[in-house]
Amino acid sequence: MLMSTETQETAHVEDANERAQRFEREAMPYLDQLYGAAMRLTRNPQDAEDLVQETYAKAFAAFHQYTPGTNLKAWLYRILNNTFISNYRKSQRQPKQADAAEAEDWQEYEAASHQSTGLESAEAQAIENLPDSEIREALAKLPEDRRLAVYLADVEGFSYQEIANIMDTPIGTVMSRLHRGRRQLRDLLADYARELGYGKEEK
Amino acid sequence: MSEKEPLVGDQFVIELEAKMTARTAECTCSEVADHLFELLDAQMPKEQEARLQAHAQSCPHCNEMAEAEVHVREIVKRSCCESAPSTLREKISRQIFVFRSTTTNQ
Repeated sequence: MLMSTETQETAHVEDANERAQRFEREAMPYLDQLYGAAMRLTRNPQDAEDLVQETYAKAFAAFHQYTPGTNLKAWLYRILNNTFISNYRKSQRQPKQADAAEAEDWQEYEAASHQSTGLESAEAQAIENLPDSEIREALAKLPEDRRLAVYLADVEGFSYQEIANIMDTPIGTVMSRLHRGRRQLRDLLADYARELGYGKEEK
Repeated sequence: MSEKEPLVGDQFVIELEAKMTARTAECTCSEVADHLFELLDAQMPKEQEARLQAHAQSCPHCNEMAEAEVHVREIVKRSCCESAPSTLREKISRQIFVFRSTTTNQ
């Protein structure tokens, strides 16, 4: 069957079928990861499921545009983010506010540039004892753009450039969102740890 | 003064580079702290990274901060590890199967 002598028409039909099979083989392994990202974005399981299902439907329909050998995971995340923006974000907030948040990101980054960004190792140790649910809850409190940037960098390990492509923003915006988001998340986590009495600074 | 034209139209990068090249000699703890995230992302220009790295490695305080940051990243990553519901996996597989059979049956 390797050396097919079938007509061109049959070969073409086979290609579409093969492509579908390739899609399933290559794209399905990212399901858990995409679902994790969808959970961070939508913050509820039903919306996350819907978002992921629609992402796969769109990705399947556009799979002929995907260049084999390029970053499929990033390609899927880009579709996920675009789908999220067009379906969920519209009703939630106006673009003006997004611009304001962006300007604020930059100002805060500037203002914060002489503050310490890191945590003490005792704080990190305390955070280690927090249940996963508390950590996800802290992440959920970040503004959407920062939350996704932090997720893509720290959970998925994407580079600044890849995140810029996924979120369709300049790399500088990615860096300021990441910087601000990470700082905010670490502050929240340190607070949680203290509240639960794990920290060293409790009174 | 202005012999170097910025090549990247990007506020953050220009700002970062200016900061780094202005002080090529001394590297302080606060400088490492300011750029700890970027340093650990290993996406800084090599020269600057080497400068900060040299300080961070010989400074117990900075070293500790870096380890704590790596630790927190591991914790965040671990906490976000989730499995998609099996019903979702089935739904998507079924969807692909339906698309497949509609495309292949002409």
